Amino acid sequence: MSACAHAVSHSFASTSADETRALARSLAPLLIADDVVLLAGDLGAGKTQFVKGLAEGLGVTAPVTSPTFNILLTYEGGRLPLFHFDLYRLESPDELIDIDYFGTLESGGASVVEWGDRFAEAVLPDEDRPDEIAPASRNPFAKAAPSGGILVEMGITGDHQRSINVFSIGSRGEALASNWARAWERVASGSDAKTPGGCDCPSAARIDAQ
Amino acid sequence: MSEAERSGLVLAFDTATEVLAIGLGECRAAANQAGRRSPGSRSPGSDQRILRSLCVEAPRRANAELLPRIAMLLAELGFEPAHISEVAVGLGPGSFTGVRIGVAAAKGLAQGLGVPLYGVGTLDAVALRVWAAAATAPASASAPAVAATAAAVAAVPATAMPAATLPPLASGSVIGVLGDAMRHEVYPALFRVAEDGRSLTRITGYRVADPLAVAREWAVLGEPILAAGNGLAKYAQEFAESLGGLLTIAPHELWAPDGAALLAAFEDARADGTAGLGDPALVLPVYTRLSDAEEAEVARAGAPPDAPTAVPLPAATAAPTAATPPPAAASPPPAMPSPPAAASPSQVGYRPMTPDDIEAVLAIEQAAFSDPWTASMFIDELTAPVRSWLVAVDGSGVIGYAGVAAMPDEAHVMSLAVRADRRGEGIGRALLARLRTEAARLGAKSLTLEVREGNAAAIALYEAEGLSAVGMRKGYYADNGEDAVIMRGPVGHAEHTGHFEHTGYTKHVKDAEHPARTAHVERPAHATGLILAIESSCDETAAAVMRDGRELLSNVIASQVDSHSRFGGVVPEIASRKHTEAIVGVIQEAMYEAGALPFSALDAIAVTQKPGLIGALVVGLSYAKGLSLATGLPLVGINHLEGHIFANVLADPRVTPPLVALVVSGGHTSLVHMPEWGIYKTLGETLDDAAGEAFDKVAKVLGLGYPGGPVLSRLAATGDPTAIDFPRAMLKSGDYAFSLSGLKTAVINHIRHAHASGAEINLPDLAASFQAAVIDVQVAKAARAVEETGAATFCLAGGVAANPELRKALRAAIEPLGVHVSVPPFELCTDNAVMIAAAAHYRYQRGEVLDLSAEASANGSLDTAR
Repeated sequence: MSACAHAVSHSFASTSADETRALARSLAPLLIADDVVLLAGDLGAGKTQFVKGLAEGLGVTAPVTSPTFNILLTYEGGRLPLFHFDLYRLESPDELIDIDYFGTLESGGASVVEWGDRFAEAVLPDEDRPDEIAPASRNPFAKAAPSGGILVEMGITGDHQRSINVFSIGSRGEALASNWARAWERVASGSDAKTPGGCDCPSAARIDAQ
Repeated sequence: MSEAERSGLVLAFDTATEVLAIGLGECRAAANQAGRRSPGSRSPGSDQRILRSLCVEAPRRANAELLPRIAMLLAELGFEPAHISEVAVGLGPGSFTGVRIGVAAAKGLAQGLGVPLYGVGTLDAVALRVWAAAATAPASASAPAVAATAAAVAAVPATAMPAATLPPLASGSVIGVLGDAMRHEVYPALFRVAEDGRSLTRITGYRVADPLAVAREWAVLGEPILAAGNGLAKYAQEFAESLGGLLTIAPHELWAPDGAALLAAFEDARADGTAGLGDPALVLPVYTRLSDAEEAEVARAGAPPDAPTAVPLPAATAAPTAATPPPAAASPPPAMPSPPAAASPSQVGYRPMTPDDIEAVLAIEQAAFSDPWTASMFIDELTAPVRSWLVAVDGSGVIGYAGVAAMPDEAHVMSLAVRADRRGEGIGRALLARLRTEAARLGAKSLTLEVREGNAAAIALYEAEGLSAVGMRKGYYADNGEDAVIMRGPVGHAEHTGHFEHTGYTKHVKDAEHPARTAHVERPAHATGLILAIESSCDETAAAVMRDGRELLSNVIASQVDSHSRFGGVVPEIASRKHTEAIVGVIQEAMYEAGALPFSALDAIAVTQKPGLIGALVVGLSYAKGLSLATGLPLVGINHLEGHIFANVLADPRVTPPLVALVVSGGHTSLVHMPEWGIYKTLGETLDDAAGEAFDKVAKVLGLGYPGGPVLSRLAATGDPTAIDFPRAMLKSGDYAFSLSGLKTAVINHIRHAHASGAEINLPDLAASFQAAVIDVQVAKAARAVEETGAATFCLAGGVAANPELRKALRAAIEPLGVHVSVPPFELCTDNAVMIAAAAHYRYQRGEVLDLSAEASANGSLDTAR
């Protein structure tokens, strides 16, 4: 519902699974109850690695494994409950209701959702309608993040290299994304071993919730 | 308190909101009948005495708190569960997990007690609570009614208005209830106090809607609205802005139902016939949305998608009456659509016929037979001795029926018919099977029937069921003089340790004579060794009855394929709600197949508690806890992985501890040491992906579809496993942990490089090399575990245990160590309740039982399953 208009998304580059985990660890302290982090990217892009880092950062000690089979795994014992979803096996957005996805998102923990772009709606111009400008007020990720959050899109750019693009969804997403970029800069500048692949210039993509 | 007084105990509860509500009341059924009121309405003078009304905050704790609190309330009042004569449960709309927990627990309780189960609307109960509070507010409540202006609302809910300041509700007043539907939506409902001030009627259906649209609709009504409901926690501001001085917000403590309001809502629903048939199988949560697949099904069936169907919904469509004029036309006119009642593909249930069924039975009778029976003929049958009449029912009511009369040695089928639109689904066959068991119960040795010579379909059915023609009756049928073929066959299996659990007419007759009904929950004097096991951890609802962990009496899997196939191939992968629909029928069938057992013949109930799909697990566990409370039977919680290990124990008598098991499936990869029965130590498990998942995902990357693990394995059989040297992750880690995500990434990189260089990918070689990398690590770690623990037996368990290369490699590596290697039969690699029953036997022997506060868990290693 925000009317803010400037782009705040960020791009990172990761050169290893360790770096991907460190990047996620730096996001953890910024999360508050009912925050939603959607993860997108091909098989092997490092989504589960990202969640491992997030869990470490929250203080979860239990081992984080893939939730593909059980759809949802819950980790208590950290600063916040962590709800780890995987929408890979879902075939229709109806099934989100069946698994009580929305009730879980709003139950006081932080949610991280693998394949969170699964039910994204074609709001951005698509191949069939290249000339049509999507209304900026629509949230293509309304299905998976109805109250906003961030989308972390991971791409495979080399055997160990990954591109990581962050999109904000709604006003909460904007705040989270920009705070995270600052937090990562601090982490990266304070450590030689973990040089970020360079904070590329912010690309222009911001999506309003609602 | 005398037994007669106790026999009318009504239990009502609701878990649809973050508040847990429980009511215990004493119902005077006779008074109820006499004071029948107009549909959808309620008069303030109640026919029931409220014994206890509870309302406690329990966010995300419904499963842990519901049944212990019910047990506690009963104990406080000096009641046994067996004193409960009716159960009513809140059906929502509300939290999906919450409603599912409440409905499943209620089904287990009602089925275990053999009492009727009814459904009530959660929002209806909230409205009744608000109305009761307003009606009972002291006269001084003429103190200023607090109109909720935007400014006043800012303080809600932090400073809730005391109940005493509620304005008195005059005739015609409107109550609005707003349930939180999450993701920026609400469940709205409006209610109106009747002109005579003596009843409250819901004037809108249940639906899910945009809160801003609802706020506009309510404003257009132009009347003062007293509002409640947990949706106000988020949207009070919007409603105050839209309605201005017309809105009054009830105190926060009235936003959820309490026990007394649930009992009142139940009384109403029963009075106007919207509480349902009382059959636990048919009570389902309120679904305010149809899934795409169900929309398609409804469209195919020819009904408009928004037409209410016969699925019993609580007072869902109380139509506006003269006393409740529709909102005055204004601009824009408010939309108050009727609810899109969910056309659920209901479970078919079977129960004894009651006089109430006769109308529906006659409709089928008249369509099926050219010489139909009359109502009085059916009534004569129902009251005659040595008869048994059954009906098949689903959400639409009676869909088939059959009856048998037992002569001294021979039972005679009196009639059998299935509604025309439901033929060919096996309902006739199921009715016949039940008649044969009934015939055996009535003491008959054989079964006969007559069928028209020209009715080839029926004759084929009977022949397929083992009946054969033994003679003819010339000109038997009066209408056209057609001959009858006489057919004879055996009765059902004679092992009937108990009587058929009548839940209908005959039961009620019996209850009048023996109101205490303690016979149903009496424990047998000696242990029977029988355990009923329930498994609902993933896509299948399953139940099995087993004696002493070895002898299988019944094994039922509610193949969800049945209901899915009706959706023309649109098969949702995940269907937790199907468990709620199937569970009563599956348990009924398992007990029936085991010899028409009553629950009192069991030693214990077992249920899969972890790990799995959480929305599915809670259904089985809540149901099992309800059944445990009702029957007094101990409850044993089983880890699904433990079940897979016991699939080997069942199939192979040489499998005994000390053993090491490798459990590999779509969701698990674990090496487990079992030094003695029931003691588990997880030696190591996967750090990321499970083995089955890695196979499926690599298959997907290779374009073999999903889940394509088995296809990948077949492809591997024709390839060279040494063609590509994929990494053997964790092979030298010195522990028993597995990691498969690195291997998955290596396969993806291999494909990427091949694409970049234009090299052709040899799919069989790639598949074989990948498989070899997985198997090498698993075999090496399994062999080392066997050596280090000194186990005498090694078990391969789980869905991936069907992989032939894995079986072969494990045998080759471990058998030379002098250790027995056990692999499960293919049919026990998939999920079933038989393995849960087998595992439960040993846990029960060790006295490891759950209490009623046990919760389900999606994660959960074997070691911690206690």
